Amino acid sequence: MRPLPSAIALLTLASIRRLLREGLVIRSLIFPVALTTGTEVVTLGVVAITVPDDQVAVPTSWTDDALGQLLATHQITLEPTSDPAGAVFNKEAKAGFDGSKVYTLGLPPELLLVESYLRSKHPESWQIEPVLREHRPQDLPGAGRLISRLVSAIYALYGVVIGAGMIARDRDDGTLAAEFLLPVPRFAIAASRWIAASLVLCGCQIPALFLLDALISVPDLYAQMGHGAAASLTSCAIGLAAIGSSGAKSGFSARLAGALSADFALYLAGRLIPGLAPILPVASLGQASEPWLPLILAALFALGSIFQFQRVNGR
Amino acid sequence: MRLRPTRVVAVARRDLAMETAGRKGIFLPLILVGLLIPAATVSTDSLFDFPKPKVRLSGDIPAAIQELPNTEITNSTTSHIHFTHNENGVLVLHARWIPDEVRTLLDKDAPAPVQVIDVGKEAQLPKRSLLLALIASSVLSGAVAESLPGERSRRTLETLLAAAISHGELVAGKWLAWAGLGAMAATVAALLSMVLGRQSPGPWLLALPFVPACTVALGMFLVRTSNDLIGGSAVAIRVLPALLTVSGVIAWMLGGIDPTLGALLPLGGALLAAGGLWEGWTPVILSVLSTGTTAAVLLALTSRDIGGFQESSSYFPERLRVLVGATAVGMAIWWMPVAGPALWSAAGNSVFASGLSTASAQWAAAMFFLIAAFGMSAQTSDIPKALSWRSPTISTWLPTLLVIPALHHLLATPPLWTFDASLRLFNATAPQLGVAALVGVLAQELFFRGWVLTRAGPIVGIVSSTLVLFPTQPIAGLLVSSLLAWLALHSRSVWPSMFAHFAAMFAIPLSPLGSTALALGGLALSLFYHSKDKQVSAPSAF
Repeated sequence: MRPLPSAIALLTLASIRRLLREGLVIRSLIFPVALTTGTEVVTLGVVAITVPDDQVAVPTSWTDDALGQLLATHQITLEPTSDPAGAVFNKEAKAGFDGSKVYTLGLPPELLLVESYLRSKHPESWQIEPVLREHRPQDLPGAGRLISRLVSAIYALYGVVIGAGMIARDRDDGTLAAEFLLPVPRFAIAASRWIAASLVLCGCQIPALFLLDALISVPDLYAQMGHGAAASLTSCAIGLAAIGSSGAKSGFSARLAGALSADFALYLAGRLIPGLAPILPVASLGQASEPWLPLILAALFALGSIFQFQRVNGR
Repeated sequence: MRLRPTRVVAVARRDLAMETAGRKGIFLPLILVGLLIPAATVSTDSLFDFPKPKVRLSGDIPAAIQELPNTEITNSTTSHIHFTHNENGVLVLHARWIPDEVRTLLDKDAPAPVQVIDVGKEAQLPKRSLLLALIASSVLSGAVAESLPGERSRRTLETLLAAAISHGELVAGKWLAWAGLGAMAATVAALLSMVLGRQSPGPWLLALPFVPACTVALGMFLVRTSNDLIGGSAVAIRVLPALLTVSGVIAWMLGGIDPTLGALLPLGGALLAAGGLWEGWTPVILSVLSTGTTAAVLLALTSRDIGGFQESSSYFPERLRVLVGATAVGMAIWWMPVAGPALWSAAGNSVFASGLSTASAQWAAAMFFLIAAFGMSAQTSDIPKALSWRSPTISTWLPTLLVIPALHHLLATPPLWTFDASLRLFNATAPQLGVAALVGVLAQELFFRGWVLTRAGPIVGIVSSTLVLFPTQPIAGLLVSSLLAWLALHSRSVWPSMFAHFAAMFAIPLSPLGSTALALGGLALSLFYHSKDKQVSAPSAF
């Protein structure tokens, strides 16, 4: 008889391999991050194609160099042209002017620079002090945090499905009954599946968060990873516990719905009782606090579901 | 292909009868009616009438400005416009943007010294019939998933194919059932919308039924080899909405250049034509022709492939598929996180791009390369063999060591293209990135010299690695990829190429002559050892 840790390790490797062999599992786990980052890249691509050059179109007769110096400090150049309005319309320049008329497409910051300069020539009129600042990653904490929370929540739901589905599928195809004949305690079989599902989930979730950080910046990245991992580990445990003695042919849908509801209840508990949000797995998604408490609770959830499995029979 | 109308209709009636039988049968019609009727009848000027953002004001706000609708008084740090007065008592607006209403109000008492004119044309937006087409198409994804995979999992597809109907008639019948339902539902909803005066009649009505018709054909094509309902649903639910949206956006962009171009894009062209985006009959007719032809081709391909129960169909040789697949996957994994931030600069915010983490990009790419390598090799019976994960012989380490300076020299070759994205790709493996860059290199080796090379041979391995990893230094990249591939082939292990690539990043630079001499020496030594190995046993893996 093999020692228990090596038996669990071998069973875990076999489970990981079966999960990786199912193209559907990998595609599903890659899909959330592919969709979010793909959408962002396409959006930026469209904006990049349609955005005009950093130029302000001026009449060819323009000789005043002060405006050019002002715009140069913002990396904007003057583009002499016979038709400033046409240049703006054709997206060759962000703004243009001809005498007292300033042409724009929408309300770009370049408009304020040109308008403030022209108004400064008329000190009796109201004046403009443009406040121009490009967004830095740290200026947009909300977007990165929201998207990372959404992606982590999707992985948590996958955790329930994979945790429950692994047992149900193996029960239906007879794999579970065969493993029950092995000289290992039943909790080892559950533990190996929980570890396998958790590793595969976190193995996709962590690079997904790295990718989001590379493209949109995720504040408190490592805390988000910890809370995301805690949610995934807990969800796998819930799925594992919920499926109990059911298989795909015997009440799988109802058990799965129950497990998904339990996952949602955890999230809801964090929303209703704010004090629970930083410590309760799933509810802690998006929190900036250290993720150790949710991770410890996730391990306790897992222990509970693994030892509950000891009572399960193979039929 | 012979299509007998009576058989086609019989298959369609059977599918509709099965879906609408019993209590559950009422769900699909209920969902269609429940979504389409409100979309067709709700009273609004435009479905795309987005609310204007509120203008946040602070400071000495003039009373007239405070009375403007859609404004909000806030503090100076978060406001769009902060009002002050200068030493001459003139009003000064410290502004991030100034809406037209504010400018007009401030200029009303005196002649404006500056006149602001927005020369932008109003963006053309589709009408509500686009929503009807989208709803009618989206609701059918479940039925499409059920059509062929459901028959296959119930083991009834064999029976149907053995009956006196052709594959084409079976596919056409199933398509007719769901495309017909979708087209009819969308058309009835559109007629209701016209009767209530919500949308005027126009050529768009012709394109409307073609959207669900082509969507169903596309859905059937996507699920043609799925073995069960879950697999079919996963594909249909995941891919169909994405394809509808992407083709619609691309058609919209092309249509901005010329409506004819947008209309020619299958599915997306019909979607926007159904939304009444373009004036006149020409774009509508073109979109109907392109989308209808595409649907017919997809149905023909589906009918050709449904006989292969468990096997996925393949139109291309294995090596070409691996080349295209590995290059596409590699580009997505490597270029998106590393070069992707350059899009922020291209879109006008270089400050944001410069603040994004390159180390995170490296970690993301490295981990996704590992997922790809292990995910692909897990499809085989022997993962270590599929990744060339085995100990090399001692004799292979000497040429490996000698190749390192040459690799170092080649990796430092200046890029041929130096725009923002190309520089990001070139600089991504700089040793300064530390552990992230090193893990990235190891993961790349496992993917290209492990899985791709073992699966499809040296040419595919070298070409895909060069295209993905060295797009800015193609000649040097080709040599690097060739040297690393040679190391992997020679040693029958991925370890030497991993070590060489890893070490080359930190190797002491030698002159080109010295590097070449060392590389040639390594080559001669390895040929010598290789010939000795051959005398003992013939190589098997490569």
